[in-house]
Amino acid sequence: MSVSYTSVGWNRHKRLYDAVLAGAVGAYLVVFYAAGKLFFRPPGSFADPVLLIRALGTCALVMLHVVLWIGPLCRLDRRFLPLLYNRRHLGVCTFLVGLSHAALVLGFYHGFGNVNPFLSLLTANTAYGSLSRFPFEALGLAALLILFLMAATSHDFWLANLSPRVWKGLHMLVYAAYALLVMHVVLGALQAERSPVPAAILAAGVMVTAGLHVAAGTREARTDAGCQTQSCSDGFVDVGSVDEIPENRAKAVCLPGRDRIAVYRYGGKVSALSNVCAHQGGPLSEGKIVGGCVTCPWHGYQYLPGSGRSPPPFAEKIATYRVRVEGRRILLNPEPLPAGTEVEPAAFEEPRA
Amino acid sequence: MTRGQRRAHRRIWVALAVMLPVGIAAGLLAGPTDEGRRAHGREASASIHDSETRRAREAVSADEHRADAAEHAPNAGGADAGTVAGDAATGAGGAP
Repeated sequence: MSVSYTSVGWNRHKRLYDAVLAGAVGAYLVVFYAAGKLFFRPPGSFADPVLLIRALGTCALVMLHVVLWIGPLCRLDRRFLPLLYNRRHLGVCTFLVGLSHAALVLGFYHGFGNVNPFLSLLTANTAYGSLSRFPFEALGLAALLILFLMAATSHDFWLANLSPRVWKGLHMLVYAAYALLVMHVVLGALQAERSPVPAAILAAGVMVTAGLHVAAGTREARTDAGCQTQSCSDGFVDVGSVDEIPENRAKAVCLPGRDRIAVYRYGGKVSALSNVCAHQGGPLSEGKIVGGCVTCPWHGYQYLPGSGRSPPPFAEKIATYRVRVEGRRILLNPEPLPAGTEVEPAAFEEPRA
Repeated sequence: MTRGQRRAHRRIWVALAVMLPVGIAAGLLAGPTDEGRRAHGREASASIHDSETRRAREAVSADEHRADAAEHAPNAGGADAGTVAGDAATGAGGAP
């Protein structure tokens, strides 16, 4: 969290993440290049620039797969959450590797003629009606433009100025970029391949990516559909017992047709907040109380449980809900209060040790 | 994420899970012909204007360039002729 503009709020975790990322990219390029030299000897060998073009292209595609796997993996297993913390760094790095691939392609294949390289790229082949001769470069260029748009707006500055809803919608374009890149490879590099192995690897990557997202989405839908609550006469609903919630943790309450609510238990009290973090929509019910504040599991944004406001000097706020405890049952009013509204936490007797 | 965002994600990925394998299969079934290989592969690139310049920088080894050029040269048949044609094709240039 930050109240003023900083390019990157560096900390130990981010430095380590980026160092591992840079090392992995460097190692991939070296191994790909060395393997290309080792296994493809003349007459089937590739020129060095072509080998580098392929190394950068495959590296960017592998990185995009990893970017797309992180989200559903975190939904399916909380142990992947540390990968989510700096996913944007991975996304920006993916764009830079893809840009290097494109720059090399432009220079190597289009830079030595008497036509502007960009013009050459876009006009040399216009066989859009043919699958086998499709100008696959256009697909890669479109995907690169989307990745650029995402990298350029990845900073929290843009998130705050565009609003989380617009920002999220913009960044969901990554799925279009992924589809474009898959077809870029299918109609480009794979057209020259006689071996089925590259096609099989790409197909496996697509199946894993789509499978993870569909599995995570199905699980979320089942969670939404499986919620059972009992209504009371005064508009409150029984959402369970305080004993179901570990200390300093929360329970996600799903009500039909509504967004989820995070019900937190802490120090003999219960508070209810919107489950959606104001930053990137992280699931607050999967976070915990740290230093007296509800802490989002994605990027550590914090809120006071009684008001839904971030502690000063931060200004984020989320909706709160009226809640009370009868016996050990938690009763919740499902009508959200305006974001940042102070609500008295419901107190209950902690059992004696 | 909100309920609407979760629903949008789910719909997008169900659509992609169907469309991408179909796209891959269609591309592979229609594409990997000799024509396609020539068009996109290491033997040639359809996007390059100047085929002579392109061939000089393509991934095929110099030997393969020479053999290919010699095969198509009007005076093909001798080792020297092949070398000359290959040099011309790769832009290496120069008289034998």
